[in-house]
Amino acid sequence: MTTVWAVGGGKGGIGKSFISSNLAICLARIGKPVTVVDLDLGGANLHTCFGVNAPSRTISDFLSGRISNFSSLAVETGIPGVKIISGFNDDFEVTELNPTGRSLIIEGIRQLPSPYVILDLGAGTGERTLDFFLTADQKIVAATPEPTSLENAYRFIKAAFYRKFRLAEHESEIHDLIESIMTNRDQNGIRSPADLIRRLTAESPESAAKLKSHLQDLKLQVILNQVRSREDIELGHSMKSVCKKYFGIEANYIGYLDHDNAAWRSARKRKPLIVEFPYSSVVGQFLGITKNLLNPQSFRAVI
Amino acid sequence: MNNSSGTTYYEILEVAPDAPPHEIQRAYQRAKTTYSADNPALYTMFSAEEARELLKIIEEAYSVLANPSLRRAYDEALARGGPIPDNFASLYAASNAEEIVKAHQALPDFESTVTLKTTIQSQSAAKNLDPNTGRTSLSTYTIDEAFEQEIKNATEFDGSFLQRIRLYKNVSLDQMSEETKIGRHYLVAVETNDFKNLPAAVFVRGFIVQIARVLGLDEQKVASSYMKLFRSGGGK
Repeated sequence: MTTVWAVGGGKGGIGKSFISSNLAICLARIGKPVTVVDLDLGGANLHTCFGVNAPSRTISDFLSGRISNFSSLAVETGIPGVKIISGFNDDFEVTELNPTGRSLIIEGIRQLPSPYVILDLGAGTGERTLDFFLTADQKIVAATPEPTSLENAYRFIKAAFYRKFRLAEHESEIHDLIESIMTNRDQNGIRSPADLIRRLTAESPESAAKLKSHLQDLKLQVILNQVRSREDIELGHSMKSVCKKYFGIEANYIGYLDHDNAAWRSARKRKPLIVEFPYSSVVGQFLGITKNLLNPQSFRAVI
Repeated sequence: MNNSSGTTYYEILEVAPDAPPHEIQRAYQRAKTTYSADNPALYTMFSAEEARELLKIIEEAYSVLANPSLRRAYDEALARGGPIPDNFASLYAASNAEEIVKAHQALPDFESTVTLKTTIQSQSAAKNLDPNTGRTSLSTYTIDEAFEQEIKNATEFDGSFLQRIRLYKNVSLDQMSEETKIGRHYLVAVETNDFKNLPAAVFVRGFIVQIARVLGLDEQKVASSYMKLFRSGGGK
């Protein structure tokens, strides 16, 4: 059984590929082979994080039928235990990605031979990005402390939440009830999904329980990248609290990564950070995050 | 986002129901940072007004959970099930004050029982003797019909009105402090509406209830009126 981690976060340039590639190397280093799938469709550049050339086979070849086996897209990265699958290189192919193509990719991902798969998602809150995110076992939301990044991270969480909510609403057949609550949202004092769920619990505990059980697997793992101060670190706790109080969903703050020269120097050299600067503090932080993701039971809270 | 819809104080502070005190302390500080104005992590999610409201609920949750005896009472109320009133903190503080006073009165030693009896006798004797003399548990005073009417009809009890009543009934600050076990500086702060120097709402309400009782006023009326002023006047 393949365990899938997805790294999303809305805004571009916040280090999703950086996080995906280094988490992959951490996993490989502790003996867990991993395939990283570049789902930044249209802007695939994961290979550059590993310092290898753009793979000749991409997901486009799989969708067009030129390659029938999804797992044969995986290419070596030069790092033992880490393979990558490249997304699309050209924008025009992306628009062609219909829901059937989407589910074919998801199916392919689940059948990859490596025990771990990391999905490096693209920026934005497009439906396909959300579906890839929601299919993952660990849903990682990355952000940097900048207001623009936080805003986009919330937009991403919101979009993922509503997509999940709509599916859950459909499956638990409570659409009408929710509609009637939302028609009087002002009288009912509903300003957030958390309010709605509380109200639903009061009106129909059964439906609420159904809805909640669907929403339960929308558990987020928050990583803050490029932190520079104590206040920056605290923002992760705030995001966790906002997720709980606004959406009524759980979020773990699984760790932060320092704003560190080592990170951009390795990026310039097109070498993974862990390979280039194995003793930098950020590498230690990556290992901590990896352990938290692998072992929720022994989760070590960020202090 | 109010807790009448079944959110517990534990959920508000996002701690487990068996969280030790230091975790509650840390969760409270974190929640305060999170919902303070200008926190970029709130941006686009909660308006300034919503954040203020959340902070108020957070303060209320903390005032109960950080106090071992209030927390125990709250846990018991939770275990019993059923609805818990929104203002558990202040309600409980008032009833708690009542209990303390009752316990105090229920345990008189022999000497004070004797003096109590004599006081009652002398009080009723005095009452019979002089219809123009009013009494509190601490003092006697000459009844002023007009002022009595004013007290009776009053709906707003601020600090200066409470002070006027206290002076009218011949109760000194020291006597009041001695009787209610409220520090003099707090009594002064209450009477000067100096809300900044008063503790959290839950305690102030307890103070007002006790002061009102000594002065022979309607405790609930006085307390709710004062607390309204306290809140709008920037009290904690």
